Amino acid sequence: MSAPAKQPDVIVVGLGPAGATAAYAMAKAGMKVLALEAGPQRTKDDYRLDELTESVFQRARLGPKFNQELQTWRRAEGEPTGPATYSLGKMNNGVGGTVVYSAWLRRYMPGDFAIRSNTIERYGEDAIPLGSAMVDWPITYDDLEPYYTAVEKMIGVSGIAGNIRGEPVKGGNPFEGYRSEDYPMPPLRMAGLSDAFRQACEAMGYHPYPVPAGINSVPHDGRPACTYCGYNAFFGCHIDAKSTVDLTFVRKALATGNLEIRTESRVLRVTTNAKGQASGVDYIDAEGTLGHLDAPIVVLAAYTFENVRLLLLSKNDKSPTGLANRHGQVGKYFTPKQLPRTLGILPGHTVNRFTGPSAQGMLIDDFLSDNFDHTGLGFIRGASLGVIQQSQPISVSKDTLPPDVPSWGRKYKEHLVKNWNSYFAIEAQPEGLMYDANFLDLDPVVRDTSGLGLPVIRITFQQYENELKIIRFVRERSKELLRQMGIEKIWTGPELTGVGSSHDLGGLRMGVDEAASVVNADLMTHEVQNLYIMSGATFPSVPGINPTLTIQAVSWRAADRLALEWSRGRAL
Amino acid sequence: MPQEPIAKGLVPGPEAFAFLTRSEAATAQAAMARIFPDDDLGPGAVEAGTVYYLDRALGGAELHLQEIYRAGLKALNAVSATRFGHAFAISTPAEQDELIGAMVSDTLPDFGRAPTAPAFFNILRAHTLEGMFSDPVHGGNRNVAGWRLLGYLGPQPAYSHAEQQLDAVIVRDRIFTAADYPLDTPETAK
Repeated sequence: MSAPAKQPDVIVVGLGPAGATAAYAMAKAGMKVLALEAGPQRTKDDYRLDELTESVFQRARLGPKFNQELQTWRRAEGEPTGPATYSLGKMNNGVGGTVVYSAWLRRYMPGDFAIRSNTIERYGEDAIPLGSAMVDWPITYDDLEPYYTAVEKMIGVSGIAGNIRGEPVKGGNPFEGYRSEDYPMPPLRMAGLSDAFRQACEAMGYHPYPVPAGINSVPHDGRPACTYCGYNAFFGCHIDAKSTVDLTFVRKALATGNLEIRTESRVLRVTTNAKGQASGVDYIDAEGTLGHLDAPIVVLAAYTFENVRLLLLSKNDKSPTGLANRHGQVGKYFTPKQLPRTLGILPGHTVNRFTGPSAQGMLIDDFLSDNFDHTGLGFIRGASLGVIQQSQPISVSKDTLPPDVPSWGRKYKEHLVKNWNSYFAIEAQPEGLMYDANFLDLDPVVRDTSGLGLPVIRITFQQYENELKIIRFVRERSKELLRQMGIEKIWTGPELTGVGSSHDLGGLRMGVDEAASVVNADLMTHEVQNLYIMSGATFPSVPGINPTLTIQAVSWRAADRLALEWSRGRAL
Repeated sequence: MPQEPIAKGLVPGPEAFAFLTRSEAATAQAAMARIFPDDDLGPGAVEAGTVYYLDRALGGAELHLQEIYRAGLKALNAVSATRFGHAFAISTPAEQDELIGAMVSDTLPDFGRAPTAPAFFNILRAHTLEGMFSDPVHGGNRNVAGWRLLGYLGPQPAYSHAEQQLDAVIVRDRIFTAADYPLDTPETAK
């Protein structure tokens, strides 16, 4: 592969939501951006409506690199290590990254950025769970609000705003923070199941709102409206109605003329110079040729696991335990999202959940974050609850069964045939507190199967009391809602749904204290001042809210500030 | 008059196996037929051809399971021979159910450890369900038997708002499959 004509101003590793958003911001500011993406560039014609091959629950065809380096898992230090388990966690590889996401683009709550101080203020110091590592973010909702709005406009979000410049809007989420502008599109249409759930919520005094979705509810930005075919989350959209960063940020970044993309180029390590600064990256291209690229600034924007892995694999004489790891913080406070479900059969009805995208759903945030009084409950924080569309036959056939139904034979078949189109789940997204004992490092034994044979990430993770109490509490609320909908047959899925969830956050925490975090509020590593991490790995907490929109907002803000510093440096 | 192809009978047809031996295929099919039986409720593993799905999976996307299958099917036949005096595939349905139930409850001490009986059951069950309900292009779900059983319409291009309501009856003139979405569309070819 030929060398670029001129050294880039910055190398971006990974062109998913974080990398694409940052690449756009920097390219727009005039920086020459070279993006290295391990996967290919795909278009809508590359996506199949085939559950077996595409779905992340099945073969996850779109994530060949991820599948070669599946993580290992142990519950605690000293316990045996086995394969990791995944709920939604198999990632795809390719330009756009998010092409298989469910496109739930929710903002974090203003209070989510100050969970430690808010908890102490409302419930006292004793309410902080033992062993937890709860901290406030070094940035606030106010810092991010303009970026949230900008991402929503660029991606194209369909939804009902709940709070426009402080004015409540009927039908929206009354708990959300203020937004400076309405969503660019009306919400996706309401499915029958969502409507039934909405009525039950309202009867119980809760505040249902439609999922804000990065899916066109009407034709938008030269792309068509969703046809509700039901192959959306865990699939690439075959008509480009789902709004992903390859169709938005990457296209617009390319239009500046300042972005060069090298696909099928897998970065192996960040290199450093004599002064300990990042000097570029070593990588391997599609033909298997090893190469090196120089750049004055390096941005790591791969997935959580890979960003941590790259820093640890970049160890050298000066940084023997890994780059930016002087204080042993790389890998710490890792937390995957759990997605526990409470299931029920709507008696005598069909729900037709095989139609429509999963984002065509209805949510309540009444039990999320600190939106309710926890006094006397014995736990802090909470979960959102909702119903979604998009079931598919293989997933349905492998779904959690009621305790009285065996997993095979005629009784199983009878249950499946009778109920596959009548059951659904109330899906919970609980917050996960971070703990000192939950972390990522390199597996000492297991290597990837890519041919390179580099160590894979080892996950050390278990759930603690506070999170189990959140799950059990919202399950009771879910059962009440199901009963309100006329459902008697109710059962629950597992409390631990996987250590890979696609909402896997932490590991490279952002913070002010150099000894207790890896990057600062501008996502620059404390130790290597021309190395940036743009990723959910930098999140100091894991709210019960889909993280992608916040990953993009945080990355855009950081990239703007990086570009400003760069332009000042040039002016000198 | 068109000439009959001489080698007609020798062309590997859809009933042939690329990885499984015929006796392994018989064992696997017998187990799958108890996991998802063909009965008065509708088609099951035999009619849907789940064993052909399995054979194709083991020869391609799931090469890594070849050894596990070979060992698991052998172990299943061994415990069947010990307990009933004959191979699993020619055991009675009641005998087969007894062994599968014992695999699930991990009460087959002589099954072996590589794979364990519950682990092998889980793999067999997953392949049975994938063979029932994956797109027919993968070798199972023959004549869309699995989707017909459920009333699933396959990957239809669109649903209307009315069709998304509770109890809406969705009518289509046919079930769609992957064959309805050729990747090389005229638009791409341009």
